[in-house]
Amino acid sequence: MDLNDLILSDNKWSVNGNFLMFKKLQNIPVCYIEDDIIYIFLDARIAKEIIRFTKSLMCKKLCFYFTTPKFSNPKGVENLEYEILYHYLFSYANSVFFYGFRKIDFDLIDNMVKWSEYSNTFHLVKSAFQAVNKKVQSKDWYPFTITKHYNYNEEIREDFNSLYRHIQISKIV
Amino acid sequence: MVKVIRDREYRRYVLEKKLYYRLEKLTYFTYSFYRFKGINGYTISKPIVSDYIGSDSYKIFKTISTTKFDSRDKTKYSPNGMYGRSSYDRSRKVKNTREYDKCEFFKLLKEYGLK
Repeated sequence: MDLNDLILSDNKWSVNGNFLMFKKLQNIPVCYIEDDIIYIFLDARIAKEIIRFTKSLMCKKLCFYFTTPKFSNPKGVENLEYEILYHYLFSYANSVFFYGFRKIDFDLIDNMVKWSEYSNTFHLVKSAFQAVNKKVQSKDWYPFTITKHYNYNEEIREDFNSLYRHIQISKIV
Repeated sequence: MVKVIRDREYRRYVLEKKLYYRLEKLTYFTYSFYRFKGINGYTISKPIVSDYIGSDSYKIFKTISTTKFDSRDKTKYSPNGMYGRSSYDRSRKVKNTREYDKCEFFKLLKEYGLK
């Protein structure tokens, strides 16, 4: 498999070393290939392009997983498996990815469970889920007008209440 | 002298160039106690220009037209708009332009008493 075959019909896509890049002010890495599996960086900076790219991979019926954009840094990452699982769930809470993947009928959580089985890291899912869920359900109080303020909208918060059940079901299936 | 009309592609290029220049200034001082937190949810000690995409400063810098007092209200690099408002406007006397056709159309409306 070659990275040049994955380029979409646009002038802004290019290949630099082992990475496929998309230009938005600067070149931002999109994906790389390892053992005939495509790893896409779930980067919120180019969220629309990532959704468009996953749709093209779905049409080609290729095997792909997602990773954290931290991993594109040559410095490296500590606790890589946990960071990837955390970033899967953190991106799922992002409204652009949440509604974008729903629009193209792609299940991000199912992909996460498949990756955790592939790398034998399913035991880390629960701790990552608890950390992200705490962030999603958190609320602030305005001091003078006594009103709540959530960082995430109601639909995403309700989805996170039953998300761990969805993870367990997709593991069994 | 032939007047070159700036199209949409050119205006986008100028906006991107200006945006890059503004964001680059933010990278000069990165020694903050509260480190920069990008849109991906993790902190970065020494951010580069592409790390600022999606941040508040990126959105603010994109909407500002100019920072200079004399060109703040100008519609730069656009041929549309009122005559004489900016130096890039098309004249109404030049034929086969949208502005010329609009003037002719209003003249016809006045002739027939529709306006």
